[in-house]
Amino acid sequence: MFKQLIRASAIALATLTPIAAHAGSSAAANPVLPVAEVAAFSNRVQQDLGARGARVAIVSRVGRDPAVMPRGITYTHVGFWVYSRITQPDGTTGMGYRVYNLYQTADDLTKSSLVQDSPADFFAAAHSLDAGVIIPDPRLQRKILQVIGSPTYAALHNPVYSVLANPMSGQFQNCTEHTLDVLVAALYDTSDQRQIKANITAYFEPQQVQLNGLQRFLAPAASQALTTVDHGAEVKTATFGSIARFMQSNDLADEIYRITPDRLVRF
Amino acid sequence: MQKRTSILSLTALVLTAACASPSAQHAGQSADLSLQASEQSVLAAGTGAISVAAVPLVAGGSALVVSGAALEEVGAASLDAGSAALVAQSDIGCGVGQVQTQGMTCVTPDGPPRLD
Repeated sequence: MFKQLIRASAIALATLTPIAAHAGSSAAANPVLPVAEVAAFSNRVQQDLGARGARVAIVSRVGRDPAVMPRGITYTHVGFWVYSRITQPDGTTGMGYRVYNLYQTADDLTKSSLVQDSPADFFAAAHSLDAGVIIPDPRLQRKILQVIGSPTYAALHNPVYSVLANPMSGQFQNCTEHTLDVLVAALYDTSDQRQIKANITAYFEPQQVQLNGLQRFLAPAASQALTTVDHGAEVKTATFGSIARFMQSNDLADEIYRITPDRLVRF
Repeated sequence: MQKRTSILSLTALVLTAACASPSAQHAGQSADLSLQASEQSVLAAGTGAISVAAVPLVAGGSALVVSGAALEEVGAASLDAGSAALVAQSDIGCGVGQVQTQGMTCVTPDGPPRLD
């Protein structure tokens, strides 16, 4: 039995380590979709948001094949899209959306940084052209913009990254948890991180990820970014779906939908 | 069988790899994507260049200047709304009405989220 366990561990680690080493990079695991299709889709999402008058929206992408994702999780990355006046390097200006991201760093998967990029950059590493969109209530949009434009936005960033970060704890953080922290800071007009976590603990129901003891034991060996030491008996993390449910059940969203190149489905 | 399941599950877990940025290898392509997006859109989408400056528009009132694509609603799905009930999962040792965020002290939460 012990030998079998050792063998299973060795096989798992041998299989997983190379993958984990490149997990933060789209180069190793994601096919890059045709440039023209990604550009057209990013514009479709922008135009859709613009047509709806969204000054800020929460947008998610499919970064991995959903078939290999844990049950209940479809979208792998979430960011705020903010309608902005954009000045190009040549001095010309125009209107469009800028994306406020927390990205896992490519050279150290246990760290993250806050990065602003374009909608096309946002979808550049996508597995498929499929976005989950939440347009907050206009009153909440104004509050979120105030947080994004304040020092609180960066202050809520914890660069110690975990794929499965517990949103009720400040020990680790991923992109979805940072989005949730900003959202709750805006809702309650606070930058107090203890109060933000208390409110998340009280009112937010994260997505449970089914893992057995062996999986939890082995995961950090594959990558430290897969640690679950911040969890109790159950592993629960913030996801696009759980944020959508939170906003829907509390009447905080104007629209929640999925958009693809040829269809739109309202959740 | 169990071993195989564990390995497959772990592989899926590793592949979750949320929040990944476009890699440096694809940075040039990302810029190209942005450029194409900018050219194709009535919205002047920014490039991936660092020198791009963006100012969020906070002021309300006027309609956004966009040409919204007509969207086809082809179906509806329902979100499995989660329980909005209070989660006082680890309130042992805390005062009445307080919650203990993991790794933190007891804090009294505000009321349920509401927009005025």
